[in-house]
Amino acid sequence: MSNAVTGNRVNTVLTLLLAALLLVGFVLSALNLGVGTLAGSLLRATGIAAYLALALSVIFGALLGSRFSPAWLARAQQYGWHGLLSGFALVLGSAHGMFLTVAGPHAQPLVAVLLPWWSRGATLAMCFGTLGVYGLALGYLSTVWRKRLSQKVWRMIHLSAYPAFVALTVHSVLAGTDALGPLYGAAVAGAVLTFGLRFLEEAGKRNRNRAQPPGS
Amino acid sequence: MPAPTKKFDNVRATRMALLVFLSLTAGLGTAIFLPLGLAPQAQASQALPLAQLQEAVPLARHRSGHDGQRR
Repeated sequence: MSNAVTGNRVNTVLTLLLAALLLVGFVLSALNLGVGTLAGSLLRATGIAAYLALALSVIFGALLGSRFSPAWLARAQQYGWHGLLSGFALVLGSAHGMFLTVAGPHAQPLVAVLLPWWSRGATLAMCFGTLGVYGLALGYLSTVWRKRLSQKVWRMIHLSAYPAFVALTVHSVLAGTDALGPLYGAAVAGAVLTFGLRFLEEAGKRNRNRAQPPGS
Repeated sequence: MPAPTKKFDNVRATRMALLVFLSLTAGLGTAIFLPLGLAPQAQASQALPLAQLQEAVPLARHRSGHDGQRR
């Protein structure tokens, strides 16, 4: 079965390069063959890249199909990039979790990465991280199975991306070791602004529908 | 300038996203790795003066006739 990755030679090469970067880093770290800081560096790099993809996906996701969405970006482009960014956030976030299992003195067993509240040290931050990735996976899978779900159920599940975003922001602030305050601040401000704009638009629509009796 | 296309080109967008996240992960990894990778060398360069200092302290105590322990 061909898709956007396997159906194109350049995309296949790029995917293999990204996979090789992560896999070689993981194997070197697991076997203790690399410099001691290799696992820590890739752990933080994948975490930051995943958070960036998530923040952009959440910010643009709220504006999908709304009148506040940028006029220069066609609706098909908005939906496409939203899906693509959330997919990358999920893949890089999962890679981030895998690097935590080989991250030198701070390494966690796999069960502590998969199950909330099982980690040794920074338990609350780790708990938010695990739950956040599960919430993100739920939001992504809801779209994969969209045709099997009713619109109401799909929307309810898909909105779990917001609690997931909050959990992953708390995880990043509590566990992150880099001075990335401006990134978290901009991400939260962007998410609150776009969610607020969408909420006001939807509330306005609902009020107008209530004021106009059906059939008038 | 060509007019922006309305249709989402999945292959092209995936290629662009792959390129961005590949360079971002490699770039961030390098940026974080370099200061950390240099840290052990920095510690090693500081280790020599520290060893010299530890040698110097007993000498100084010996000269002053004080061993540093309270009685």
